[in-house]
Amino acid sequence: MTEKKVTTFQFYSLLYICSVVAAFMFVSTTVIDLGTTDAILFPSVFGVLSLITIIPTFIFNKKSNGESVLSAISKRNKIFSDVVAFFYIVLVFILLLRTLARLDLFVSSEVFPENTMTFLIVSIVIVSVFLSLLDIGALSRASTIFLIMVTLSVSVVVFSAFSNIESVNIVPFFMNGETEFVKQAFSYSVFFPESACLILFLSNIKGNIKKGYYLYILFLVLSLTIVAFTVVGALGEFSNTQLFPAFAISSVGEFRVLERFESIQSSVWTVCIIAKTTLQIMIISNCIRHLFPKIKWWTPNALTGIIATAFIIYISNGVTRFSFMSSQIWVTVTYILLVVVLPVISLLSILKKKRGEKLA
Amino acid sequence: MLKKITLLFFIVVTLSCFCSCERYGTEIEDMMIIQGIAVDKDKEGYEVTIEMLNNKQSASADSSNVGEEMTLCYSGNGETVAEALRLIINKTGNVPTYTHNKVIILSEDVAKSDITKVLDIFERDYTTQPITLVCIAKDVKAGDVLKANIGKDISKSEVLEKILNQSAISSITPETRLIDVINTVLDETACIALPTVTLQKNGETKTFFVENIAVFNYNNEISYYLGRESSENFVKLLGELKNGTLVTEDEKGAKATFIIVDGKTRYKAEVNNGIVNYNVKIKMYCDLNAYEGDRFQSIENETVDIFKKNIESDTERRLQNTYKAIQENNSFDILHFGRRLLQNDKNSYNQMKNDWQNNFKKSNINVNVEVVIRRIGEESYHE
Repeated sequence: MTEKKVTTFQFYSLLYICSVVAAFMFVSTTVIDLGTTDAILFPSVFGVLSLITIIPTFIFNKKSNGESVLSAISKRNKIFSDVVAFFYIVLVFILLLRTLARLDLFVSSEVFPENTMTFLIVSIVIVSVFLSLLDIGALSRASTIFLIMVTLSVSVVVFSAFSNIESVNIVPFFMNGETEFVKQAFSYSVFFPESACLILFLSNIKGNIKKGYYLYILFLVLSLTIVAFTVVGALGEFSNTQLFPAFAISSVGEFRVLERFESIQSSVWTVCIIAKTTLQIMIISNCIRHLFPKIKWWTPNALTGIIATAFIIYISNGVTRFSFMSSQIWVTVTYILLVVVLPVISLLSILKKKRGEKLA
Repeated sequence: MLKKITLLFFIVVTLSCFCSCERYGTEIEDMMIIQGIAVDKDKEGYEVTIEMLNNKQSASADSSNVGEEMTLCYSGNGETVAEALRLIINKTGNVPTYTHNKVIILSEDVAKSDITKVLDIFERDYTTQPITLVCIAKDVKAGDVLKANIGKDISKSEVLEKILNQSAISSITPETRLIDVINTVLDETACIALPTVTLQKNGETKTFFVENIAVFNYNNEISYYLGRESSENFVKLLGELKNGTLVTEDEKGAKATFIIVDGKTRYKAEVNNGIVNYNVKIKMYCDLNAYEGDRFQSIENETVDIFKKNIESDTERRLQNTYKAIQENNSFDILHFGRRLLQNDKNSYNQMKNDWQNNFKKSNINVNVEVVIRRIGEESYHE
């Protein structure tokens, strides 16, 4: 990873907008019921899960003295670090495809319905590739500006929809039983694997990583809970019939100054998606550079962009392909591998090496 | 250097693809900006009438001088509503946009079959809005409502939207947006209730009139109508009391009119021996608006108390009667009382929901109305 430094605020701003955009691009599925009151508690479960799953990363940070995962492991075992880098490439590439497929679905349904938006997607990939050639510092700094836009936009959406909250939409918790609640809350949580990025950029962040992370999770859980409450209260079971339920609240809310407030929402979310895809391309490219250190500096980014575009053109032209790409099993597997398995085995590898050094 | 080339490429790409001018239908003149949609049945399927903005008139700087109507109406026929809507393009040549659609009017014939089949396009289409109002055309074709001559330079859909909104604010009919209809359909125990619109003569022209409520059964087919008084009581029981008027009498029989300025409704559901008992508490804040007694004299506190007691007992009686009428008329739960039971007693709800129509029929209600008379108008008062 590049050694450009960013503050914790800048870095977590980037993670925050990537997470919030995932919530607004959340596609209704039969797996997660967003219409019941249980959905209001899903973000809290996600918060608890995030605090547990980040522990290996924090220990890793301490043991590696703030070194990022790939450089820390490669000093001890180059082959193992290459394997880890390969897995990061594959998993983040799946995330990138999912982000682009969702953007394609969003643009071709909410922004320009009944149109093939391949040209726009290609343009956005080009922009993301270009931005990914800049360092993480530039993207993180830009994210602090996006953060203001996103916070304002979420606040206005929630504020405008608040008067539409109906008491009949609020039903008791655990309507379908506690087991179903846990299952659904987990299925919801795995849509937010952004915290996995932290271990890859440890050496780039200056400041108190732990404190920043706790604040990031707190702020994110609060935002997601407010959004979920508004979705449940204002839309009720109607949210399960909507492709993008969180986005649908902007069309229910009445914002006096602007009658079509969702148009502005669309542009805000598109900008955030660009930031997200840029981060994903950046991670993939850095991992490719780790595998092939002699490769030209721009080649991995361009290559990632080209391959992702080719895949996305194929995926987005059929709804069954999109469903396969977005299926819960893929989302869960990528989350477990990225957020749990890779940080844990990376930590174990450096702990094992340290013990070996001590014994020697 | 490469960065500069990439940046230049990015600027060129951005300029060429975000201007949105090349695609047909993005210019205002090429768009069919739909204001209202009316659906009737015909032999083959459906006849759909739309009211769209007359772009020629709307786009002009001084629209009143163009000599054109503000809106235009077109009809199309098809096997489905979606097909009929698409076929209207052949008559207008414009690309349909539902985003500004204000109202969906369904004819009684259409409402005799499951209305969810007709409403699906308005839920599924990307550009439709969930806050679009839905109503039933009573004793008139739905298309005729949109084609009615109610005056010059008027968008009929806009007028109807205003009437429906005002009717909901005045607690005469409930607010029925598309989202409310869909949520009611998805609620296992609830039935749809939609306001009706009729046409009345107004000299040379006609006027819309909204007062009744069409009640649907569990198959989402129209079943019967609630009259004016029952409709108002229904809205109060539904918990949507906002504003409205009340007329009562003093001890000498002089009439007093009150304006309801605010209302709050609370529900409690209890199950005893397999019967649901509802306790509904309604608090109404009222202002005296007109009083026919004592020749502009002040009102004594005792009279205010009499008004308060009269309104309370009268409203309680009326609401109980409306509840009974709804129960006796096939027990279609248009009041969402199944949901109220769920909010209070989840286990009983789960046991009763499968036979809700029967359980709702057996349920009891106890209405408690509390009236707070806030003001007595521009008059002095006796201590």
